[in-house]
Amino acid sequence: MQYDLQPIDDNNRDCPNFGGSPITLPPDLEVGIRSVSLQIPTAWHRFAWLKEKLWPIATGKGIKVAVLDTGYSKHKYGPEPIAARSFINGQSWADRNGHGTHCAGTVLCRRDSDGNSIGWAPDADLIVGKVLSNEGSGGSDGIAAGIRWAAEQGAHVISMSLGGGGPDAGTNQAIDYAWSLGCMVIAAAGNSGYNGSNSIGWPAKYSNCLCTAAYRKDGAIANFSSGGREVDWAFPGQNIISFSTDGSSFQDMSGTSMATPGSAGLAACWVQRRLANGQAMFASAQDVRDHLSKALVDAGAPGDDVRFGKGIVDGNFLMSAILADLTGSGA
Amino acid sequence: MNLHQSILATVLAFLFASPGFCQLELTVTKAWHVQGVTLSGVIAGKVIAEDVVAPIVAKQVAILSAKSGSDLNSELRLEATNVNRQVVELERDASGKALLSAPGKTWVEVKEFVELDIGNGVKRKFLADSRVFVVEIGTSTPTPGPTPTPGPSDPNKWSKLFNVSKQAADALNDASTRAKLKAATAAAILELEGSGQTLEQAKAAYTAAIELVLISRNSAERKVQWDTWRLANAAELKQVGVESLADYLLALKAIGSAL
Repeated sequence: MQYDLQPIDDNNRDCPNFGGSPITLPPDLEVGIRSVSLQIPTAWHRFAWLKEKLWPIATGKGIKVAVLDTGYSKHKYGPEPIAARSFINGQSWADRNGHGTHCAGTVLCRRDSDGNSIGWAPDADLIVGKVLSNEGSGGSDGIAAGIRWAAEQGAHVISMSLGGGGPDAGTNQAIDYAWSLGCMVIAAAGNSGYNGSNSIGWPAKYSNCLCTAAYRKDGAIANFSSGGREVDWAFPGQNIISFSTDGSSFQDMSGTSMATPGSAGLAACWVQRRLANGQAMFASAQDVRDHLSKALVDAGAPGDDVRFGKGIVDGNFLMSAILADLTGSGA
Repeated sequence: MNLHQSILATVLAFLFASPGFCQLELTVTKAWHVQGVTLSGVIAGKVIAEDVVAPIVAKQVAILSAKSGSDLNSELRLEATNVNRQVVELERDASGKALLSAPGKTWVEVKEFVELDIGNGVKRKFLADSRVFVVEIGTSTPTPGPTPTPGPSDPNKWSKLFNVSKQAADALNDASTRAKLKAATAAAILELEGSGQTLEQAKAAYTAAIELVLISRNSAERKVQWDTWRLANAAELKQVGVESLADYLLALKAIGSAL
């Protein structure tokens, strides 16, 4: 079965194939272009604990994150990709949409001279797979091929801020294949909101794919964030500041598309410490889920719920999950 | 003596008397020639690695580089003899530099030849200058097989660590990562020896070196739990107690030899 896939963000009001209905936004979630800055701009999602607690022990260095999206446009705070390929006929991997570039920035924006970044894994390597066109759509065959290609490039984490309305066996098999090569696969929950019935999109709905929801600055779940038992965790997803395609300015966007690369960046740091310790890579999405209780703090309804999943990332909790008792051992 | 011979004799006399001569220099760079590691590149600036099967053998070598202070277009040749005045063969590295590996003292003579036209287009090379340098390098230091290198304090202190490292690595059945860890350990030992680092600095450096290997594991290798090897080694190090940098280096040799 083939289906059309769209980038998931609330700014795309014309995504007819996602979740079956157009996404409507409150007016304060419009895209805004920020002024060009020599420094990384302040942002509510630029948590102090990232700089103070996480990055001293893990920055994603040596970890390859594949962003499968609309491509990438080099930003002054962004790296050159170590591998890039387009799966869209007639289009290079260059991003003429902006969605993929924004997502890449959220994963691995480099640090400024003050050590700040709006990315989560500021030293991670970037793999770019253009599986969505400049117009913002793509096919499941291209997605599946992109997943397989990224895993074969040695990606440790695949971030997919995209989704569609139905399952696809080829995509699911590609996801399983990626895990078999030691590559985590994460996808956006979707922007259909939640009215009591499961609204998670595919491939995030697939059991072997981690599913990321979005929350707001005030800690509440974003109203657009899809809900369902598949939600594993929630990350900042509203008014997220990241790269624009002009190469130097920043742009804010909202959606579970913006939350997903945050989770991918965090995963990169987690994987870095895990591999450095000598531990094996996570074997499956369930393997990650089994460890999430040590890394997350509960949010929303008590326990594992349909909006926040197992919760949100907290600096203190995260440390216990990613540190093994090898520090200073000299072995 | 014809005119040409007369001029030539004058030129040579001038050359030998010129302050531009007697400016032969020999730069000696000590390095380690490592066998028994599998590497695709150079470990560090002064380590020459060979892709050979274990065990690790680290041999000190001297890289000889001669130069002349004269501005003549001359040719420099190196000739080496040992204490018994027997010729010592010099090897060449990939860049053509001479390598001396014979342990002990070696007398290296740098000879400078200049080519002169002796008439009618006939050219001959003349020895214009020479200088002898004494180069001394350490003796061969093979890293041990079944037991760690004896230490100055307690030869058997780290023998159990060797067994711990070997058993933990054997159980993992990951030859590729094992070889890389072995190489990283050998490189770390060479870098740390004589580095003047504190014990804590050395521990941090070695930890960083092996973590780099572990992070860089490829897809298949990512499934292997090398933390069991690290934890076992760490426990043994803690149990025995590392007292000094020299002690730690012996421990690392035990760990590396077991890989």
